[in-house]
Amino acid sequence: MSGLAIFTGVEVMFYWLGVLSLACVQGLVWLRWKLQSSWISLVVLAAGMGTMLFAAAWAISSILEKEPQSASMSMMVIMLPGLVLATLGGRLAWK
Amino acid sequence: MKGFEENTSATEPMLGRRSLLKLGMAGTAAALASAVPVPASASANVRDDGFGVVFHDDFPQDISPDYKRFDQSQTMFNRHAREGVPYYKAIWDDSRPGFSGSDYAMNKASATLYHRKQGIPDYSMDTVYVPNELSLPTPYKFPDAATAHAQIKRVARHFGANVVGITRRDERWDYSHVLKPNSVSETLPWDEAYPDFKPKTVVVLGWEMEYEALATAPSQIADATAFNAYSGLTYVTMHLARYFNYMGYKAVPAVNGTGLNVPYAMAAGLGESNRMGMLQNYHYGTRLRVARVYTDLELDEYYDKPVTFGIESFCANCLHCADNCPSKSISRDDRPSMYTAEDVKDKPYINPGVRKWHLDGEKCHAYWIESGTSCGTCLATCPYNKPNFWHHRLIDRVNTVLPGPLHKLMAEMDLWHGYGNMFDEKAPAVFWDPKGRSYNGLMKDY
Repeated sequence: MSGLAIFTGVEVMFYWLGVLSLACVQGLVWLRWKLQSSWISLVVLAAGMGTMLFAAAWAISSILEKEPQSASMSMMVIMLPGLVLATLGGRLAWK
Repeated sequence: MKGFEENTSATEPMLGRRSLLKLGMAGTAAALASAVPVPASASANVRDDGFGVVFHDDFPQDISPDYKRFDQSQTMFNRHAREGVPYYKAIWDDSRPGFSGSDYAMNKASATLYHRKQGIPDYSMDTVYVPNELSLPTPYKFPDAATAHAQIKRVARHFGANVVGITRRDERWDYSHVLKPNSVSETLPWDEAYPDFKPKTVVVLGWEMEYEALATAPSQIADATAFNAYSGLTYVTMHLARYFNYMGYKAVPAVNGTGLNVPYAMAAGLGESNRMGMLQNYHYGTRLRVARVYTDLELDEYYDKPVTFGIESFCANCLHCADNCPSKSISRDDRPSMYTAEDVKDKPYINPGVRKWHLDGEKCHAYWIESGTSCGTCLATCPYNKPNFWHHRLIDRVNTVLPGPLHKLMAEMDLWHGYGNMFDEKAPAVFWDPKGRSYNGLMKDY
C-alpha cells in the first residue's frame, strides 16, 4: 500500500479518509438543508460516522503494522458502536 | 453562472457570492492564525513535548535525607563478577527461534564498539577527554544558554542520538567510588578518579532500540538491539566529548559507568521512573538506552526540567512487566516505596533513600545467566513500548490524562489487541521477514 512508491501507506490512508470525511460532512449538510433534519439527529449521525472513520483508520494502520488482532479488535470495539450510533442517527435524520 | 442561478429553486437555501467571500476570508484567517508562530518561552525552544506532560522545578521523586551516593563496586554486575558469575553469557541453539547461529553472531557483533577494551587513551569510556592542539585556543562562548542547548542537542542528534537532555551535574547521581579500568573490585573516590575535572553540565543521550528485535525477548535478537544501542551510545558519547574538547572544554563520556543514568535522565527531562525502576521516555517508552557526557562547560541557565506524565499511576494499575518477568524480580507493590538501609542490608546492590519501585537486580541477573540472554521481557511487554505510529502515540497521550482505574482497562486492552506477548516463538520470524513490517507502508528491506 505504498502509493506508487511516493506516498506511504499512512499518507494514502489519511488522504482517502479525508475524502470520506468530506463526503460525510456534505451528507450532513444535505440532510439539514434538504430534509431539515433535527440537530440532535445530525450530532448522533456525525458521532457515528466519525467513530467509524476512526475505526477504519485504526484497522488499516494495524494491518500496515501487521497486527491483525488489533485490526479485528478495532472493528469490534470501535466500529460496531460507531455503526450503532450512525444507524440511530440516520434513522432519526432520514424523514 | 447566470444559467446556474436560473436553474436553482427560489426556495432552496443557497450559498451566495457574498457568503462565499466571507467563508474564504474566514478560512484564510484560520490558516494564517495556525501559521503565525506563538511567542514561546526559551524552554519551549529546546523541547517538544505533547499534552499531559507536567514540568517540575525539583527532582520528582522523594529523596531521603539519609540518601548516600552509591559505590560502583556494589552494582549487581560487579558483585556477581567478584563471585565468579559472568556479566553475560550468550548462547546459541539452532533449534530455538531467536537463538540461531546467525542470531548469536548478530548479537555479539552488535556489542563490538561497546565491548572494546578499556584503558585505550582517547578511546575509552569514563575517562577525561581533554582539549588538544587542534582545539580552540580559548574556550568557545555560546551567545546564550538557549543557543547552547539547541546546538549541543543538534550535534548530539547529528552523531545519532534519538533524544537529548541537558542538566546540571548533580553529585547525588554520581558514584561515590568508581572502579579502576578493567577492575571489578578496585575503586577510587570520584574526586580522586577525576582530580582535574570539575563537571558542571551533563548531557544525557538516548538511543532507540528496534521494536521488532525487542519484541523477540528473551533472545539473541533482543540482546542484539540492546547492545547495538550501547555501541551507538559509545559512538555518540565519544564524539560528543570530542565536540566539547574542540570547543576548549574537558569532557567524560559515560555509558554505564561514572554515575546513574536513570536519575540524570529524569533530571534532564527525558522521562519518568517506571515499575521496573528504569526510564520511561515520553516518545520511546522503555525502548531506550541511555548514556551521559559530563563537561566543564557551564551554562547560565538549564531549560530541561524533570517531567511526569502519569507513568506512576499507569504502572500502579498495569503490572504487565511484573506478570511477564520470568525471574519475578519486579516489585508488585501498589505504590513506590522508600527503602531504608535496614530494608536492604541483604541486598547491597540496591541503594536506599529514593521513593521508587525497586528491581531485584540479583534475581534478574541470575536469569540472564540461566537463559543465556539479557532477558528484556519487562521492556518489551510494556504497553508504552510501541513503534512510532500515530495510533500508538494517540493512546500514549490519552493515557497521560486518564484517571487511574481506566489505566487498568487500557493495559488490558493492550493485551486484547495482540500486543505485549512475550516468549513468542513467531516474533523472530517477524524480525527476519525480508518484507519487514514497513510501519509507514513505504520502506522495504532490499
